[in-house]
Amino acid sequence: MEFIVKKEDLLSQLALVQGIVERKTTMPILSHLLLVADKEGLQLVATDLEVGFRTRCEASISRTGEITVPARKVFDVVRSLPRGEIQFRRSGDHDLGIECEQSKFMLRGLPAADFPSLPETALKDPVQLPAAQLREMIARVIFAITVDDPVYSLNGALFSVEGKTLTLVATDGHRLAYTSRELDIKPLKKGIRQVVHRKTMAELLKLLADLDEEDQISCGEVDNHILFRVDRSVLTSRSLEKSFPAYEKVLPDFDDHQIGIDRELLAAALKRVSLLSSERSRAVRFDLSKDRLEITSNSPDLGEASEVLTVDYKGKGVAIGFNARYVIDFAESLSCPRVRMILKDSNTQGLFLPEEESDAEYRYVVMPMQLRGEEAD
Amino acid sequence: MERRILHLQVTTFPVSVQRVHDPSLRGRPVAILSRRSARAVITAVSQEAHGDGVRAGMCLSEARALCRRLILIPPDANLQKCARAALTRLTAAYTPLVEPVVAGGIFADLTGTSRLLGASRDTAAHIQREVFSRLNLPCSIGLSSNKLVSGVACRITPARELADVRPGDEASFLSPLPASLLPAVRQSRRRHLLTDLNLRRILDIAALPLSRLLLAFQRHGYTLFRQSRGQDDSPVRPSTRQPLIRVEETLAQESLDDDILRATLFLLVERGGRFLRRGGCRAATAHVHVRGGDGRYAARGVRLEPGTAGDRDLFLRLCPALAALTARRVRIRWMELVLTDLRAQEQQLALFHHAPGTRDRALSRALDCIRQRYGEDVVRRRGPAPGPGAA
Repeated sequence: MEFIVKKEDLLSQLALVQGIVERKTTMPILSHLLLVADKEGLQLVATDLEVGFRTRCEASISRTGEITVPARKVFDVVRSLPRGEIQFRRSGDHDLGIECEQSKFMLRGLPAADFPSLPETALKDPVQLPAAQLREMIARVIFAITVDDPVYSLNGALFSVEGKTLTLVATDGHRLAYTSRELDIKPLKKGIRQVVHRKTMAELLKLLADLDEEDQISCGEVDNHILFRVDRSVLTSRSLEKSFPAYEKVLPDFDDHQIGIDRELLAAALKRVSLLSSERSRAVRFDLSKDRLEITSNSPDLGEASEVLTVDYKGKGVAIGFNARYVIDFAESLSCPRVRMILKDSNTQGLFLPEEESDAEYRYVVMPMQLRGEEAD
Repeated sequence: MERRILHLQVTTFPVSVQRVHDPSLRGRPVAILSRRSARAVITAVSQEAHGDGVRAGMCLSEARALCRRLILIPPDANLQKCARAALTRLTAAYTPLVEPVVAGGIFADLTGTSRLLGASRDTAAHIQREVFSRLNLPCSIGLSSNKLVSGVACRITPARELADVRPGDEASFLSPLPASLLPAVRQSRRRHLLTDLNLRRILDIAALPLSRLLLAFQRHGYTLFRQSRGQDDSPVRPSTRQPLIRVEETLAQESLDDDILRATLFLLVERGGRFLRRGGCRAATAHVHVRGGDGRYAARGVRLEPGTAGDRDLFLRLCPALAALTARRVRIRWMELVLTDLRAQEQQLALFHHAPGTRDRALSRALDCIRQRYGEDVVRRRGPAPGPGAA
């Protein structure tokens, strides 16, 4: 196996792979990257058994072959090299020699045969999704996915394509982000409904970052995997348990107390006030009265903070506690100037949404926090 | 820089404090008794009463049998609190690094004060004199290069005397002393194991290699290894106020009956839980302390993450601790519940199901309201069985 590749071409692909490989794993092969030199160029493959990633890179192949090398180490080595062409050559069974100008490296690898196999990347009936719209939708829900939850389905977001409608839903059990959009695509005969792992969503967002407005990506199901093809890269993800919580039941249908407020002012006020809230709970209190929203925090160890915002509200007074982080996440995921809050009481979920209607429906539901002296019935 | 750590301990602190308040108690056998009943447990005794054989942990009838002229007084928490504060203030005038420990005990770090205050031994003697002249409290002082050796030196030093262990002499100072003086040996199981292994003095432990100590005491072997050589790097930490809730009950009769013990625990849980809810907080740690009929004391702690304020939840999580404490099959005379790591009662509600314990807390709060209005005994809640599904 021998090939020559430009540093910039390889480095950009190696950077994409870093998010996939496991650094602390009991299986050493999972911290490695599979390099396959074939007639079409150089293929890079990484997996953590849940998420798999294949990408291609232009290279001048002298001799075909494959090898696994530590992903982090090869990235560090390539990054440290000067601009120009880098020569890779396999020596012995599992060693990879790297040469660039006066620098020479020899990386120890593992047998390529031990590298886990990834599902087929050929899609029978792929659906084409607009990259920019998908990017926006993922950014609106990804923060609500739990990092490590014993309920496995909460470690991912619900990805559903029914007819022409794409829906993404994420929840951590305390808040829920829902976004749905009618796409300009051919209606699907058989829809897609998968719970996609958080890591896959994060990697997909990275892949979509560099795409233009008119670019499209392909998506489809293969066996028990969902597959996204973005340009030369293919991201595969093993399906999580399909029993995603019944989110439709918690989307509120009341409109008791509706408040219109400037999004940036809300986020800034929450950030300031939450500085003196408990580190653990980040609890703040919303005291709503006519044309006035007072946000307060109180920590016995730290002190108190409050801020009054002018809001568009004419109803009765209401006081509700929220985790400030949850509301800040919502405000920061949007770019619109104003947002709307729909609240009921201190035991019922609050609904947050952008004030202006757009093509994409977006709803963000947050359960309140019981603060001192309050108790649920 | 050479470390100089002082440990000051007021002799029989609760008794000494009472004697400041009532000088007529001086020179007479005095005991502090939690409450006036035949089964009440003695918590502290004066040296005169100690000489007659009275010990902390004895019940009143036993103590009376040993010392007929014993004077019994109830503990005065406010007085002790004032004395502790005065003691801390006085020591803090010499060094900012002051760590109050057990009642009437203080660690002070005198490292680096010699140029300002003179030799640390002189400073310690000055503090001792000042504690007696200004507060009228007799104390013993241990001075050495670390907290461990200072603490041990203080324990073996009589009242109003000072023991100075010079740097480098720690191991030789500890060698002839009983092994039970080491903090790592205070746990009863380890103490018994040392006796079984015929390791009675600290030098017996110090003579053993680390590998053998690890074999016998697992991870505690390393602590024993270091302590037997007089090694301790722990710093003197100025105290941070940690609020806690402490409720206790002396049983009408010593008992090993599970139902009676669980009922007593539930009573304590209800009392402690009421304080928690009144303060709008939940406890993340609880300890059950018991004293047996033989006077031996034992304790078990339970982590309650992320914290609870519901009586039923608290009780069910403490039942295994109580079961472990009664495994010795010695009748229990006294029980105490200590709730610590108190946190604000802020709870994130769940979207898809009710958070566990919501109904229990609501019921507990309703009972609190009824009791506050109509009296303590107007309503009683049946203690839940420690099995699932009981209410």
